[in-house]
Amino acid sequence: VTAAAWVFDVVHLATIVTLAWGSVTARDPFTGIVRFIAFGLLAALAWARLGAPDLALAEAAIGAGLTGALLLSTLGRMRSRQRAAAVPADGEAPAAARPLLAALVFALGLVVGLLVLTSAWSIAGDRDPSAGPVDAELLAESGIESEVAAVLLDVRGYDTLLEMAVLFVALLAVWCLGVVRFRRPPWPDDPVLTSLAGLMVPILLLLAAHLLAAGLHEAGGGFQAGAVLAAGGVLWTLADRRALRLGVRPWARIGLVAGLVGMVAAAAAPTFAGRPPLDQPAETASTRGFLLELGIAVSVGLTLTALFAGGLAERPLRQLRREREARP
Amino acid sequence: VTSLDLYPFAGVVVFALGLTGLVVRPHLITKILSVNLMATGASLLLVGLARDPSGATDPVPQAMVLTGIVVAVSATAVALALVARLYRADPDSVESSD
Repeated sequence: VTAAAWVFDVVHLATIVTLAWGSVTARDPFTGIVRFIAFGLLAALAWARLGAPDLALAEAAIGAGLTGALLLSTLGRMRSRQRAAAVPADGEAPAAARPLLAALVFALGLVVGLLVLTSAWSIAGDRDPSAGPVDAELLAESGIESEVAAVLLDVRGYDTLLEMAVLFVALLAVWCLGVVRFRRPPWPDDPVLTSLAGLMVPILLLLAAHLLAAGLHEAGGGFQAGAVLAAGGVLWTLADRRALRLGVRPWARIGLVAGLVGMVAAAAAPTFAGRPPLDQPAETASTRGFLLELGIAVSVGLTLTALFAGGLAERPLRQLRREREARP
Repeated sequence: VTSLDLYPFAGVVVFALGLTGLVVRPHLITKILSVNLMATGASLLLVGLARDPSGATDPVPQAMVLTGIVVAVSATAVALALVARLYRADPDSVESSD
């Protein structure tokens, strides 16, 4: 078993490093992105190998899938001349390969990384080995079975609260930067894609519901469910341009902030009872945890789908006309 | 020493490759891709170091990396929106590629 594990891990990591190398050095950015997506899938396998199935789920859906789709979509919207030229329209000429600079920067990155590695080891050496991974009392107090979910929702709830805020701000930034034309989307209709989306979106919805339901006990949870929802949302956006209008629909806007509002409520509620923020009693943890995870899943799924659209969709003509008529 | 101890080292190499791509490669899309490589490399380092002798992986780094994955994709989306804006001729529309 040990020999097989060594062979697997060495081949796996060699492939990961080679794909990372290939995605950086590819002459054509399209090739680089395809290699990056393959890299992300192998990274998901690495998380599974390291005993972190929650990360494997999120990496496969977000790290490989959504990030790759975002990169490809932006590349596809560039004019072919800009795509080939390596610089902005008014920028300087493409830089020639600079092997010495590349070697120096690579060495710098290695040194920094290895310093972090060795210092982490020396800290680990000072630690009491019987102490266990994380404060077991804190985890037990949270009243949530899954350790990762307990950390996300209770022990380090601030992280999750701020993360939802980051997602929201990112969406506002993308909406400020671009308007997506509804009648002329940047990709053509495709019958194969349409039927694939019709088949996959219900399956992905089901999978997201399972991950959400399982989240408090085993691998899964709001973020993973949201990532799977977003994968469905991206397919939907590609197949049906009506999805581009997600950002202008009132029900979707409620969903976009559900996770953030939920976390703010969970942070504020205990303060009325005189306890510190986010300090919730363990008795109600499973119901509260599920509601929070539900809000997070809906928000993450809708926000990532809206981020993929690349901007706020212009309002429908009918609505514009009505607004014009209403004006005095 | 098990073969799982190799993962943090691979994380360091991936981080260094991403840093190199960010500095050396001129294409903006490749730069954004490289930042994502750096994030994954750092995460591999963090989670790869988080196993205790019994083989269990500490849930705190796992939760931090899960947060990091979502933050990385948000940052990537904003960076790509900036790139799309930079390359666009007409500031009021997303042009289709020619």
